[in-house]
Amino acid sequence: MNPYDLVEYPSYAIPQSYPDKLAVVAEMFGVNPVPPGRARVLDVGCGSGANLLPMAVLWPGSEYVGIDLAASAIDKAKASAAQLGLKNVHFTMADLMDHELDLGKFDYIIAHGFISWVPTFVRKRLFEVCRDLLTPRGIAYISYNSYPGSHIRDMFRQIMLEHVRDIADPMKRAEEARALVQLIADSGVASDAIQELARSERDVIFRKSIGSFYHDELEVNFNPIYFHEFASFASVHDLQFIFEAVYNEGQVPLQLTDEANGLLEQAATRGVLVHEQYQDFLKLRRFRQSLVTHSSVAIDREAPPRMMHKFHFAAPLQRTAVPEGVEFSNPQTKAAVVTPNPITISALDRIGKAWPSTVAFDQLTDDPGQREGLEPVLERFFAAGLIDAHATPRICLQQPGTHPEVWKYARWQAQNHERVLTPMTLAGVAVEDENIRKLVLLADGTRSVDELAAAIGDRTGVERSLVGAARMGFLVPPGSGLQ
Amino acid sequence: MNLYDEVEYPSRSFSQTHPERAATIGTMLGMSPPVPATSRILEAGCGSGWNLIPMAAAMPDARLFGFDLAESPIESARRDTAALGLKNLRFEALDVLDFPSDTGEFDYIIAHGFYSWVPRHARLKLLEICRAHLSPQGLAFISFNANPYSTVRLMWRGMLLYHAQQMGVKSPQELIAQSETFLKTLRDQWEKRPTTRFHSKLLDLQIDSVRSGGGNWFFHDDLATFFEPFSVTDFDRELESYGLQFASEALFEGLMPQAVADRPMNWIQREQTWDNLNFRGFRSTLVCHRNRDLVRPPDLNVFEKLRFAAPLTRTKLNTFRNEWTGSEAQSEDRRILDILTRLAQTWPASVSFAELGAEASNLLDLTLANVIEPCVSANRLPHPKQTFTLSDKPAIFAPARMQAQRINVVTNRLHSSIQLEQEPLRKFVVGLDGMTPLSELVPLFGNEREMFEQLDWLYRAALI
Repeated sequence: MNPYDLVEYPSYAIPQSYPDKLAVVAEMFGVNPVPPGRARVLDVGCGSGANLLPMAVLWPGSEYVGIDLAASAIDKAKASAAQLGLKNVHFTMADLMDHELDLGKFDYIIAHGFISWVPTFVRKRLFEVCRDLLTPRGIAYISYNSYPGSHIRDMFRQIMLEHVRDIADPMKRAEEARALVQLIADSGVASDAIQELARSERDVIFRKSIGSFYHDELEVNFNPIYFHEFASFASVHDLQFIFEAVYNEGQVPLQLTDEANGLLEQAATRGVLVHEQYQDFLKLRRFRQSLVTHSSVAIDREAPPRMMHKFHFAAPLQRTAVPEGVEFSNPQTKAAVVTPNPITISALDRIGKAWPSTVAFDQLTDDPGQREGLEPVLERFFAAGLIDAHATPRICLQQPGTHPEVWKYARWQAQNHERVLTPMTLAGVAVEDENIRKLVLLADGTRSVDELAAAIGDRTGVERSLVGAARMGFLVPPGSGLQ
Repeated sequence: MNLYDEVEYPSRSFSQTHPERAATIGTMLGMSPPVPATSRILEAGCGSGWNLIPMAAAMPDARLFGFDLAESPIESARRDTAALGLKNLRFEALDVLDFPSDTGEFDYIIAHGFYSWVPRHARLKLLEICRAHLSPQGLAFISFNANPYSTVRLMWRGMLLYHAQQMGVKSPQELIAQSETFLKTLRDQWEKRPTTRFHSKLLDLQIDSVRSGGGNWFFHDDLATFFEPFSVTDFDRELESYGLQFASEALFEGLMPQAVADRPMNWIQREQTWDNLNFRGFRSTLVCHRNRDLVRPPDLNVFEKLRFAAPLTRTKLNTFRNEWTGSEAQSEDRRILDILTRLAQTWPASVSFAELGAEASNLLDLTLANVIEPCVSANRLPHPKQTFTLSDKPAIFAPARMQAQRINVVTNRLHSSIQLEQEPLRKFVVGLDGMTPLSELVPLFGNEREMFEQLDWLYRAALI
């Protein structure tokens, strides 16, 4: 029996794995990817489809294939797709090792949380699949646990596995293992620095749901790798590293010491892969989400500041006037910038006002002469995590209007009594109030605000919730095709 | 060419490996270990022999055999043995895999810095030697890098080895130098970010221990060709397949927290939990045959069989301090203060249980607190306290005198390492050759009083 059949892995949308995001990073490095709106996408280890289903709703012109070994997850995914009336997504219970599998070619392959939790021969197979199934400009997103940081995970994993060795019941294993880490963090026996290490790991572990914790930390297979190993696995399969899927996470750390800076500069002379590896040492990185493409594709590492005109930008920016100009901050990423430049201020104001919708590059300034200068600035803001960039526009309704309409995926989630609802921004929102779930379900564009208020019985609450829902990106404009 | 031929492992002795320690702990666990002074002792991976040489000199009736794969340290061990005129000690350059099966039995087998630093087949061969050559009541000392904490060292090692490869390091000396610079850079950068800050503190602890051990030590440990840590559980599983078992840690340690001691688990699980809680990175273990029934925790009555010693100084009316371990014992109990006074006066000789007239439980507490050390041998220190005059020609423990000619850490008769911090003291040790009258050594210090104070200190350090 597959362990994922025994304990369900609670799955959510992984926004950074969306072709809309992958295309941005690929485009920045000159890869010229297939547009995310008309692509073929494969999700390896798709679980119950929580990643592919919203994707299939948002980009109906693309075709999606999800495969997984866990039969129960695939059954659930198929049922969900049917309930959502989706014709463009197909789920199959399949083994990646099955060489007879005929899935066709893909413009995007997603393998999230896959290669670190499978035996090494399956890991190798994934690279083969990427080599064989990616279209000429295709892009694969592969996340993995990375050394050096994962050594710390190894340490706690060993402790926990030994501790629960004689316990059979998965849930009991997970609970006992977590309790042990708590005991260690609280014991105060070891030196201060070590105790701090234990507490920090305890915090990492307790932030996860018990199901995620079980699969992330207690699985039989747990094979972290160094980045340089990842790069050479890719290379022997005629694939090459493009960049990190999360552009912000691929950046050199701020506040480098002179020596660390010197180390990185020296590493850079040995090529991008060595440079990346040394960055991981300095960050003690434990997780990576890397993009790869065929080795034959030309990559231009100087391109990013020249490519920003191709994208659409979004960010929930907060604006504060300060003596030096205007401060913009993003409460989601904690990134902030102060700028005195009126063109930059105007561009960021437009992005902030449009949230949760995106603004196309051309719409950021009315003066075409200023556009070229804006590109490198936007690249730095994107790198700092202040703003987000998308390959395709996202159009949300900013005000509830007379007949508010929640996009259909979230309504379907509400109908299924899911605790976490997914807006079009894909940042899941945990909903504890049953009234809100009911409101989401009823707000299908056919009912007026008055009717909704009457159905729920709390007019103030309904109005406030609808404004909040609009702000979070749950509401679609009438006739947007997302009903 | 062996790497240990190229970069010599610092030659020193390790008190925790001494058969006296093993015999004492074995006795506490209900065994009847052979008397160390007349025992047969084997050391695997003995390097330049300086763990065995002081033992051989202090126990002339014991027979000792050391072997190592690296030839040049063995040659140096043989030269020193000959120079000291030791007849009970033999060294051989030998691959552990070629260990002759007709070598007979050993009462004590020592493998310090061996288990985690050799390939698997060599490690298992060591266990095979213990299975076949350890006498029925004998004990083996085996140290290894322990998990969980050694995983952190694996992390540093992974980075260091990558860096060395990138830098095209050619010699071991270059590797040591590059590694130190690289670690310093990482450490300073980690300190700047809240999420990595504690890692710089962890590295500080390690860098401190590297400094105290010297760069070569670091080279042969963290950067060694093999670096394989084991949890104590895995270690005991491996022992089991050779008919051996984990007996005890070779160091007297504090008691486990009650939360651990109360748990329904076997002894190994308890040791493992204890390792997990204090993040142990290194183990010095004693191993015996698996068919020995061990009494754990020790029965208090066993203390009647033991003797006790401690270099104690009274620091306050109710407080005694162990000069070597730094541990202190405070008590208002007249009986305990009497025990400590007696030990302070008798040091460096030991006192029997009967002579102390004490209750065993007090002795256990004092042992675990590192204040006193139990032992089994009455004849460890045959020399009674002496008063010297200027015409006397006292002799320093011969191996220590030889060490003092080279380095400032020497081994005393009890197999403890003694630091000779000041230069006149080191010269004094070299000068005390048993043929030179004290009057000739006064110029080293300038006055007689200071010389006699130093002589007294050397006596208390069990070096005369």
